[in-house]
Amino acid sequence: MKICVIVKRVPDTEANIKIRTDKPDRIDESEISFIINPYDEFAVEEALKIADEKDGETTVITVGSKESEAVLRHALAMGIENAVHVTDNEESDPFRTAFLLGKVINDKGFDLILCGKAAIDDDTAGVGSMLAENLGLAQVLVVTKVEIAGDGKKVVCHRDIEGGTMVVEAPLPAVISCQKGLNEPRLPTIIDIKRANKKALETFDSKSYLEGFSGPRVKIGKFTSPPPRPVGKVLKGDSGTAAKELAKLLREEAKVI
Amino acid sequence: MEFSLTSDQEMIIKTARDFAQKKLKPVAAHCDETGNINKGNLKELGRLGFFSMVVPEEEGGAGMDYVTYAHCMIEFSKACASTAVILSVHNSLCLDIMRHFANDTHKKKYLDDMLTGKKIAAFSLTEPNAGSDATEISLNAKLDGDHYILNGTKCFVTNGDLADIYFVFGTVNKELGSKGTVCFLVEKGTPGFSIGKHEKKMGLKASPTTELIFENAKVPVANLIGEEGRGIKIALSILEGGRIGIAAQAIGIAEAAYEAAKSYSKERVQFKKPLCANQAIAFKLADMLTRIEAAKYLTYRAAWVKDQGKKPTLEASMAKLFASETAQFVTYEAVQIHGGYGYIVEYPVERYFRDARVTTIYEGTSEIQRIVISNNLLKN
Ligand SMILES: Cc1cc2nc3c(=O)[nH]c(=O)nc-3n(C[C@H](O)[C@H](O)[C@H](O)COP(=O)(O)OP(=O)(O)OC[C@H]3O[C@@H](n4cnc5c(N)ncnc54)[C@H](O)[C@@H]3O)c2cc1C
Repeated sequence: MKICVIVKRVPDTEANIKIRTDKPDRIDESEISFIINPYDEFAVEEALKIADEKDGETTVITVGSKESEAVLRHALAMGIENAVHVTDNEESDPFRTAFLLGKVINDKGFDLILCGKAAIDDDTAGVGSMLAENLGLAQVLVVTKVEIAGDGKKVVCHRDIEGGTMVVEAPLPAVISCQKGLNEPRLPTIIDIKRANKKALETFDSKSYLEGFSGPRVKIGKFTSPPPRPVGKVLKGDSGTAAKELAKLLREEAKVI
Repeated sequence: MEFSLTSDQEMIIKTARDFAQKKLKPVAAHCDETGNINKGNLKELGRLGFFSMVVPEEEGGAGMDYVTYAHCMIEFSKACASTAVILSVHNSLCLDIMRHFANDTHKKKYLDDMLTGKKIAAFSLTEPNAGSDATEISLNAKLDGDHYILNGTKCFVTNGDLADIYFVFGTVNKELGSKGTVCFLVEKGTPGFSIGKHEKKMGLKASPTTELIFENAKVPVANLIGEEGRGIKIALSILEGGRIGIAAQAIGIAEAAYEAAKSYSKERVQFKKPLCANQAIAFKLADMLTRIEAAKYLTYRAAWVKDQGKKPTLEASMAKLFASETAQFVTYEAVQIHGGYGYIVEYPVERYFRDARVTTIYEGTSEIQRIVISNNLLKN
């Protein structure tokens, strides 16, 4: 069984995001650190688990700048066998990324393609679906359980829905996007980190795959920072009075009840 | 000295940080309160390679350099200083003895389990009457056929009952002074060897500190490390690595206290403005961070000298002295910035303040570090 995982380099969840003063459609990357998209880490872990059970071969792919190599190394350290880097310095755009991935993946014969449910930076949640469309494959999105069934011919996934679980079957190959709760990603051991950093990567320039690309469908206009969070309110008095006041504020001010 | 990190180093340090923040930090207050270390976390640290950090890969370890080691110890200490001291004693004291003084038979028998953390090690030099002056140790070892018979009491042993392997220092004849000293590898379960009192402490409450009691304990001659007469030499020769570990521990505690104080000072409003809007508070934060950074570079420098294969006697003592004193200053001011809340257990700075205190005491007090430094600078 050949399994592919798609990963993206994103700003650390702890990072204090600032917008560039010269270009309001870009964030200032100078002082922040980057990580593998946390949802992609669930995808990597799931790939490793499935490969372990089904004796599969795993490959990780990213589209992005030179620096994106770090997230491939992270996936390799976790245990993925092969890594492919499509170097691309354009502004991240899901349509472009899915196009490039479609071209790279097209003839590789993967049985299963896993990705995160969304990248935590732009949160477009677009690449997985678009890639499935580009490749003409089934897609099951935002899943919390993955099971390979029918002699490796199909996949059974769980999706959390309001008040219950939806069980979805799809024929393989398919694209699956991973949600929190699917698994607990392993930390790489020190030895595995060192091995991963010595491994050779397959690197392609995005230029060689852009033939037929019609250009991005959307363009980021600009970013604006959220308004500063107002200071919280502390209600005084005994619990009876405070509870009454709280109910009043929730109804009249916050308008949530 | 190299300031930038390789990608190996960066990724290893990130793993330490992730583990510390996700696994150690959430349980640190509970471990402190109950006085129990989380054994599941120790096991996982073993799997990741943190019980064999500075042992070369060829010898079965994780093959880390001391600079990375210092960075990782800072990350662990920031989350849980008790876990950090367990690692520090095991890695930089016990494994160093194992590598440099144990023979092949010892290594074959014990090393693998030590490297995975399956067997944790303890280092036992201090006695009730031999603290700063370790040459006064009097645990008696008497040769009897193919065994040594050990009698006496050791105290303040980190990893006390947690360990399976103990490096114990004694003497075959106290009159010979350091020339009579010996070092043994003692296994838990050795007849006549037992764990004594569990000390109740000011801080590091989740790290067990116990007495070790030897009543005609029978230790095989084969478990003598080095030769008779080399005990104190062995103990003294591994001090630098230990001091780098404790310097890093102190820095981690200080950094956690600084960060807590910084965010508190931005949130807490008095006189209609956040605390940090007062220069008196902002300047405290400036001093705290400056000293932490200075402590870091002294420590990285000591680690780097050790990585060059040199003996960082002076560097490690200066790092340990400055970092541990910095931890006193920073945790003190962090409590001050928290006001009354800093004195309440619910706020972690209360624990940081207690945990920091021991760093100027163990592995050579600040006074002893100053003796080492001044002896060194007056040498020529
Ligand atoms: C939590 C904890 C864990 C420990 N873990 C271990 C362990 O794992 N293994 C181990 O072997 N030991 C351990 N120790 C012991 C520790 O290393 C000793 O406590 C330390 O070396 C100091 O010895 P002492 O307590 O006997 O103090 P003393 O030596 O009695 O010193 C008392 C004071 O006098 C000062 N002083 C002493 N001599 C001089 C001098 N010549 N000039 C100026 N001032 C001087 C000291 O600096 C100190 O301020 C631990 C201690 C603690 C508290």
